Amino acid sequence: MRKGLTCFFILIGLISHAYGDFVEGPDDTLHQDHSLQDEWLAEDLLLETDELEFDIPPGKIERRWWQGMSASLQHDVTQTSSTDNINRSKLRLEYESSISDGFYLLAKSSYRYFNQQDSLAKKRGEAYGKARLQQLWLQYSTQQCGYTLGRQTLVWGEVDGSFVVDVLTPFDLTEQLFTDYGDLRKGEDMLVMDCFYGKHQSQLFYTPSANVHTFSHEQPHVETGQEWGGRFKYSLANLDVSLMLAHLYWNAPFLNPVGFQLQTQSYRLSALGVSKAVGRLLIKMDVAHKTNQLDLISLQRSDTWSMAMGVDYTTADNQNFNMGFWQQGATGEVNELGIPLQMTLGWSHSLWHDDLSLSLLANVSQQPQYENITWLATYKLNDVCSFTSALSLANIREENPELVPPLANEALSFSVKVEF
Amino acid sequence: MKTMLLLCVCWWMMAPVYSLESTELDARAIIDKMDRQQRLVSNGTFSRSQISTCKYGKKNKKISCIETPRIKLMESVSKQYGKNKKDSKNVSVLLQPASERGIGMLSYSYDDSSKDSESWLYLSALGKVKRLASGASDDQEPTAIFGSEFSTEDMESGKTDEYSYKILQQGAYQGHQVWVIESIPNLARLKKTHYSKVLIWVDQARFIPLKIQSYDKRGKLYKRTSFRSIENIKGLWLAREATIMNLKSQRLSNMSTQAIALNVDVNDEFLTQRTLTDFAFREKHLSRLRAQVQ
Repeated sequence: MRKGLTCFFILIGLISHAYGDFVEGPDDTLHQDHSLQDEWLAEDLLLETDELEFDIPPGKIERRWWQGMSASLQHDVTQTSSTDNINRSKLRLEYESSISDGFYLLAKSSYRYFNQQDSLAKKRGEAYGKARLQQLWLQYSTQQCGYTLGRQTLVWGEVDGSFVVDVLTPFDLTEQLFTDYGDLRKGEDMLVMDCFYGKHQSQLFYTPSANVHTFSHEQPHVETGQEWGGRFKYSLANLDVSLMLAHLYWNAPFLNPVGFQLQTQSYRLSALGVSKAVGRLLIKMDVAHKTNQLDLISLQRSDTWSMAMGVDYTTADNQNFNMGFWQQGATGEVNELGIPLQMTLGWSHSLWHDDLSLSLLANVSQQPQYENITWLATYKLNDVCSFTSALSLANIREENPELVPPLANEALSFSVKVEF
Repeated sequence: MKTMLLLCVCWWMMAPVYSLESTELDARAIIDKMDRQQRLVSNGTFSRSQISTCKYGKKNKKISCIETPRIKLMESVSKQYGKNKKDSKNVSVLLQPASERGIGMLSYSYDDSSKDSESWLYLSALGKVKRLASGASDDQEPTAIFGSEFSTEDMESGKTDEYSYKILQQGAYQGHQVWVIESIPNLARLKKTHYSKVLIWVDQARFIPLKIQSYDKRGKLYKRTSFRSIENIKGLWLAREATIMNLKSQRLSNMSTQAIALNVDVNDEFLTQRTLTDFAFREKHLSRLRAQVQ
């Protein structure tokens, strides 16, 4: 762990040093001429022709058919205080383009290689690779509506990081947690219809066979069924209101003690989402009623009410502060502790001409019992290459470890990504 | 908000052909006319612009990048609304770099300073449209646009009441008759600006700026903007290249308008949240607009 911390500070030092190097400039035949200031300050020279010649690489980008293609190569290393270390590489390929008038195609796939030091490879006993088709869909647009058919993700809800309403698309929890958030989602085969009427927007979806969260690559298949639902969204000045109804399956399967099989069950979701901007403040709320929910402690099922509220505040210099809580209880009951089940506090800011992005996220959970804090820094070396580092500290008090999300008491992560 | 203001670059770089008895105008009237004409030409505009940003050095009066420039390529569509066409709606989509491709932003801004602007952001990683808290434009500190040297303040238009203007000189500059106008912020504006003074070289015949110099709070030259490749399209003048040099950070940003279509018919529905998520709809409309570029 100490070594990891040392590496973290060395990396920060290197970044600072690299930044300093740019100030000097790599070409000593060119110099930064402060005498320009003096020339241009003289008001009696205002009308003198002082046209400068610029020699700026045009870098003109022509639009061609392969313009829609992109690829990225990434390597992630995480050192934890437990045995859940990460050491893996990922190649991602993406293509998106309009293929005909009114038709649009998107394909997104990845191949991950789990090195021998990776915890998933250790569990399997050898290094291995895994390919994944994350998204592949075709979109067709008519006068008022758009239809999207294929493997895709669908995200509902206003309060980020809460799962009051964001329960449609499950997660692939074998992904590194601080990588692109989009990679965490596990695409489902579905048909989505979106219709737009000025300030109104309605959405219907149908999934023939629902997916569940992936916890490991050895996870057995979980039987599910059809999912469907709809959302009606209305936008007013500085206010968005959404009403949602859906028939869904639990994303987190449970181990049935009878037969020791992973199972999931269907439930009904009725929800409301509101987002209101007041100056620099954004107030968000999600409320949901869910039938047939499983209490992981008592293993009893009941209908539940859940609510998440959040606020985002953006300062004049574009720092973002956010706070949210998420509470859930069985119908007719009040959370016995009378305090939020989950609470988050966050801060983010971009520095050095947006090259360095910093964020801090704290999370307090009453059920299961744990607290954690994550510090994340991403530095863009250029338009192609970026480095990310994260330090996560957790205090896990929960006695049943299966209830706690995949967290180590201490974890230090590094990631390098090349994207073109 | 950033992308919305970015589009203002195009307004700023454009102005219609305008002939007048220049000597009859005072500084405020010149600035107001320039501002009014800029609003008129931005009513229905499609553009594809590239911003290149780098540290620079100088050799034999030639300014060059001393590092590989960062390049952002984007397409934007805007339209003016409301009384006197002073409110605006626009949508911008990033095409390059690959790591930011597909980021889309929809912004509505209002001339009424008490009315908050509205912005929605689409990030493919997020997978949904997110409303942003942007506040009123008057409430914002100047910020860099896409990490470039262009700041929101450099792009601003329509705030002529907040400055006092004076013609410092007039005469020939780079072969064109110009006024050199000094712009000083009033006390209220001074709290929100990084500049204590701005000098604008206004072309007397074409009513576009040829050069702008901005001075920091200590009165030292801070930024210098040059406008080049001035063309007349559909009777309107525009500079297809604008280069801003930050003399403090020794960085420059060059904005190049690769393609532009002025006064095109923009469907009102295009400037809604649909454009951020219905890609087939967006491309259908954009291909029609791309076909009209000059």
